[in-house]
Amino acid sequence: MINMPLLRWEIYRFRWWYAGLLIFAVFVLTMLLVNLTPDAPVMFSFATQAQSHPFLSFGMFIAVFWGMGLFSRQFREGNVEFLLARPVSRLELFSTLALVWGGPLVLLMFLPFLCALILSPWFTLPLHQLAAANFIAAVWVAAVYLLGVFLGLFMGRINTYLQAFLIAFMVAVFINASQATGYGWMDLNFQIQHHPWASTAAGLVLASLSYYLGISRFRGMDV
Amino acid sequence: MTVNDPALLTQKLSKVFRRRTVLEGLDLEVPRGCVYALLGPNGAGKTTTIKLILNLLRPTSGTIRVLGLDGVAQSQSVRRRVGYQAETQRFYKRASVGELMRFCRSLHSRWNQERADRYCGMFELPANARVGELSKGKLTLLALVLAVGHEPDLLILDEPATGLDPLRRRQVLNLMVEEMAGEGRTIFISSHQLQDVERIADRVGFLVGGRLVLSSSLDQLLAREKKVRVIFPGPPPEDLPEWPGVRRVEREESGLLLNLSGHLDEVLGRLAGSGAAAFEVLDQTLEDIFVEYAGGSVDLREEGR
Repeated sequence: MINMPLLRWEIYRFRWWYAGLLIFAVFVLTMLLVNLTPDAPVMFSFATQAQSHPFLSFGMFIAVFWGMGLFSRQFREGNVEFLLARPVSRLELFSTLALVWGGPLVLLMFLPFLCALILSPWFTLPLHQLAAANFIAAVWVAAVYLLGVFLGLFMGRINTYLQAFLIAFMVAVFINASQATGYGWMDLNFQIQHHPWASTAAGLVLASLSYYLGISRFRGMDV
Repeated sequence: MTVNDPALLTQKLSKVFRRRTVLEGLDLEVPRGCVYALLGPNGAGKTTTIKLILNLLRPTSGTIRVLGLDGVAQSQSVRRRVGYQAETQRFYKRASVGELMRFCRSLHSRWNQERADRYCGMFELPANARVGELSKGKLTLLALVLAVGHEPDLLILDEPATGLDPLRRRQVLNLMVEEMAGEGRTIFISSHQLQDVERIADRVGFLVGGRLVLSSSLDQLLAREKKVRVIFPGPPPEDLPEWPGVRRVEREESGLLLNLSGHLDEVLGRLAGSGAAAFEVLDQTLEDIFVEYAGGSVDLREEGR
């Protein structure tokens, strides 16, 4: 399902981008640690009082943006034709590219847990709750990312960053508006807090469905 | 799959793009070890045919077999054994030639690095040059090197001479003929350079308006397609255009010019018997024949298999 030479190549191509992402992660981690009050749990109130995630809205926005732009960029640059003329299957190409771009984003959702893990020798922190909350958030970011990839396949080469940005912006506004207006059923953070299992299941179903639909669409496309 | 399977076999292959038929009922057979040139005017469906062979495009109907394998269901296995040089080169502009070469090598189980290095040296493609900084001609040459590195059984070249100067073009053609074809590999070329094709091809196919109007051995085609300049002292026979093999009759200042497709001896015999004062048999170039077919009627002629 994953083409290892292609995975290594894509990671190599975007090594500086990954380095930037790592720097960003270290920066966020540092900010969390520097702003730590003597009673650390204040920083982790989202974990003690509720299981919401500080980066969920941001993660969703980036997930849709990257997801929608993933294949249109590859089509425009001619890389899809280049790769599919070689012994790379469409399933491998789709899965590998989705992983290369979506993987780091999903991992970023575990930053609060990582931060808590670092602090755990000195503070009593709800590691299990944090891990669960971060996991659910990661599942939802992956689901939205894969949905973005699937939708991006319909735009083909005409997709632009502006289009992807606008759609991602609308998603972010939608998520935050549902939080602000108190429509609990639309509020992902609310759902994660109160129905963690149902949220996880719904996220996994959406991710699987998006992945399946994306593969099906990509398999039937003319390159 | 046997060694007797043709390198390429399509049956009733069609492709429709949004109600526009680009390829219609293509029956193409390319024997193993030959150099086959697919010729046709712009928009005839040559690139579509190539993309269908590689499964880059999905056929609307029909079947494709490549090296004995199903071109759709076993596409990945097909592409392990096929080398492809696209008409336009768009790939990984920021990568260097060396990086791209290493990547392509990693995708294939076999790779002839000695050959790839030799071609890179011959074509002056330094390993540290950025792909995006190469000229159009150099990109074409790089694509050719990447297409032959894994020693494919079938090499597909879509307009291989694009952007090349005559010197390089000849070098590429010699390379293909002497090395690739000499090793028994099948070469499938789509080209507008008819002089080049005439020099290297064993077989040719004419694709016009999405239909294969001719597929034949080049030698047989050149032997069959003739022109006869004839002078009649009086009026020519009324049924002359209906004679066997006569494709077209042109009027010249001093006589008539017959375009023949086969039946030369029979036509010459009839001319002698119908009182023609003089006639002269003229050879045709591939370009003449191509123009005749591309602008003429659509009849499938499959000969010389």
